[in-house]
Amino acid sequence: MFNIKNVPKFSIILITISLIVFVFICINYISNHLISNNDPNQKIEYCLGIKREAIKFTHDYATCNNPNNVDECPYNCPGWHSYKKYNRLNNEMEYYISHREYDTLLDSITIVPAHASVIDLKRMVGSLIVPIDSLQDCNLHPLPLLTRINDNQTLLLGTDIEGRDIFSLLSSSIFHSLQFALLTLVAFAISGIGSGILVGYYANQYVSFSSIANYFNKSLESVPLLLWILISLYALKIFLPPEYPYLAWPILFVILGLVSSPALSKMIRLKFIKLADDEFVVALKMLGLSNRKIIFNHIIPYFCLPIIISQCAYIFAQALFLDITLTYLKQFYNESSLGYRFIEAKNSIGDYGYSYFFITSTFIFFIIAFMFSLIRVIDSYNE
Amino acid sequence: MNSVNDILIEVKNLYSVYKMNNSQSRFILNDVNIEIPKGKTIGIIGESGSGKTQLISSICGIQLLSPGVIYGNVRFNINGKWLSVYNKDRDSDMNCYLNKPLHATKKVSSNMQSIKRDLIGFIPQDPKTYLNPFWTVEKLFKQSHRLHNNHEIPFDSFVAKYLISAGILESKVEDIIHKRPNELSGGESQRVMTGFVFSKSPKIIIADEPTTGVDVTTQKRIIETLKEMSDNDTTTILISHDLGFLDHLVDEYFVLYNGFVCEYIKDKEEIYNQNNLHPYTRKIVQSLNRDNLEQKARLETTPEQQEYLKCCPYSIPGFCSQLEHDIDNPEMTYTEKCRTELPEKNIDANEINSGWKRCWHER
Repeated sequence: MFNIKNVPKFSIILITISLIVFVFICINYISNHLISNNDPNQKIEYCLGIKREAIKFTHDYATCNNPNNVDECPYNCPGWHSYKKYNRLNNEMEYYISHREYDTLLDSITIVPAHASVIDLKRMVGSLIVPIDSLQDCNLHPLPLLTRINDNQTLLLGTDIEGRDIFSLLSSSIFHSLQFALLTLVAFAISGIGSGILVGYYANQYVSFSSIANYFNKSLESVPLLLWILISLYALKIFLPPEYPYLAWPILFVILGLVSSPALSKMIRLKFIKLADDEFVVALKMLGLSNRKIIFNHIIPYFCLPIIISQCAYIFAQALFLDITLTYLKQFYNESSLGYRFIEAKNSIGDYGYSYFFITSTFIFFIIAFMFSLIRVIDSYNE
Repeated sequence: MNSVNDILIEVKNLYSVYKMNNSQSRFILNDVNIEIPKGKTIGIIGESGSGKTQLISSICGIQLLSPGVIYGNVRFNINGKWLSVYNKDRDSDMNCYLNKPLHATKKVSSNMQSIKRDLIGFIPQDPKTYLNPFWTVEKLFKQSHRLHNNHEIPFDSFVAKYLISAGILESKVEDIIHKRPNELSGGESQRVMTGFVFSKSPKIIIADEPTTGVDVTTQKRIIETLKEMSDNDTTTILISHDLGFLDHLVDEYFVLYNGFVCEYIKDKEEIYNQNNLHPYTRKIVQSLNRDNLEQKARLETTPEQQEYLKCCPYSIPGFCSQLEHDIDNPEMTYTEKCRTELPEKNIDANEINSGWKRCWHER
């Protein structure tokens, strides 16, 4: 009979690693063949339908003139479908004609500069007036999902209103934000585990050190997290030299990690207090193991790892939340961060649908969910 | 007295102090001075709470009770070389110990670590709780295979050799190897632990009450395996309150009474010789419930002797240091005197190879 215990652990690990490698290869294939690595700040020039050279400027205004409704005539000729769009960024109207119509009316269009004002357009009587962008269907942003812009490239998530590729934009901002979240995590883990060990395991050996660590933990705990962030925010505004504005962002994330570390420290301390005089640890001492080996080879990997992983996942989410909060408060915000994307998406809901907002928020959700799923991985490994 | 080369462990002025909540210090071990001879089986007896386990762990440099401190000098004689395990004299002011906790120097503590790793095999009372609950037996043995065998014997035969020598059937070995401590039965875990200890091929075996909570047949098997080991050049230290168990194995006795070693019995048979015993030892021996009528007859006491026995009360751990008044009271009985001031060693000058006692009553 097949028994899972007989399968060597090494092969299970190999299978998992090969699965992960396979997934990465798939992602790599998709990104190389379907998605181009666009610069996130570059505007994507994408035109559909007719080419510019094919258009002739020979339209007669009289053929579609309606004397009853002179003002709307250039844009509402029979057989034409045009629509207006209000551009919030520039506070003006834009006029578009959908590209399907051009094929039938190639010879009857006059091209004007894209951002000519409405009054300018009205003055130009005698020809049908269409903005150049809409004529070519260029820069009709936002583009929908899975838009194929040439033979090799497909935009998976489309573009935003400024014409940037959302996929490359999001991936670069996720990379940017995760770096700082990782910084928080490292500060959190080091101070949490370190003070937990100091207060729990070495409480009777290094009395003064552990009491100082205990004092720090309690004082950090007594003030709410958001208040610590606000205090450090204003402290940075006063004390940070103006030559180094880029230092504020990492300092704030490290402070977040340090300030929230007592939660981890408490749990680890409990485990260590329970285990420090346990027979199993005494036996390890009797076998001649040093304290360092007992802590890092026996107690932490077998008894504390689930706690550490779950707390780290929590602090990861906290770091993303801090990112969004700082951007919302407009304090030391960073334009390439995930929080900025989130605020941008939130502001653009009224303009062009909810897709950007949903895409951004689901990405954040997936990151958090991924972190939490790590707990399950560790658990299954221990089983 | 023993000559220097016969001594394996020398313990001088060993104190183990425990800080209580009401800022009083409690002496778990009090002025222990013993010399453990090489190649013999030694029994440490005493009531529960008298500090037997604490003595062994203090010799190994482990403070079981926290917050607390160990003072003293402990040296191991290894191939004629004296390695001091730790070396810390008791301060004159005992109350300030909390500010100056024991720190073995780095060299000394590394001595202790290598000694514990290579020489000492420790068989605990309940082996199940002494194993890492996440480790299989295989992983446990892999460690000792890596540390102590240097890959001379292949791993499979290494495990089989020591598990079979500890009393596990050959057909069961493969089954047991993949088990974790919680999946083992009580006897199995005891055997796995003994096999693991043997795999280190230690020079000193310490067994802390190996027979409590174990059935009679397993007890017998443990006795047999320990006897096999004691035939070799190893020193065995057995801690027990069960004199009947120790009687099979032990050459010499140390008797612990309230944290100090009150008697050292060098001849095994002397423990049934009533008149020469320390009153506390006599009390322990008397409480033995034996079927052997001859020995029972030897243990019977007269009413006069019964009153004499009252001078040593039962152990209350650390009570010696708690009552520090009435030092100058002239009407003190021997009992009260024992609480305030410990007696000196009473070595018989005529018999060089005899043991010693520490008792006011003898003076």
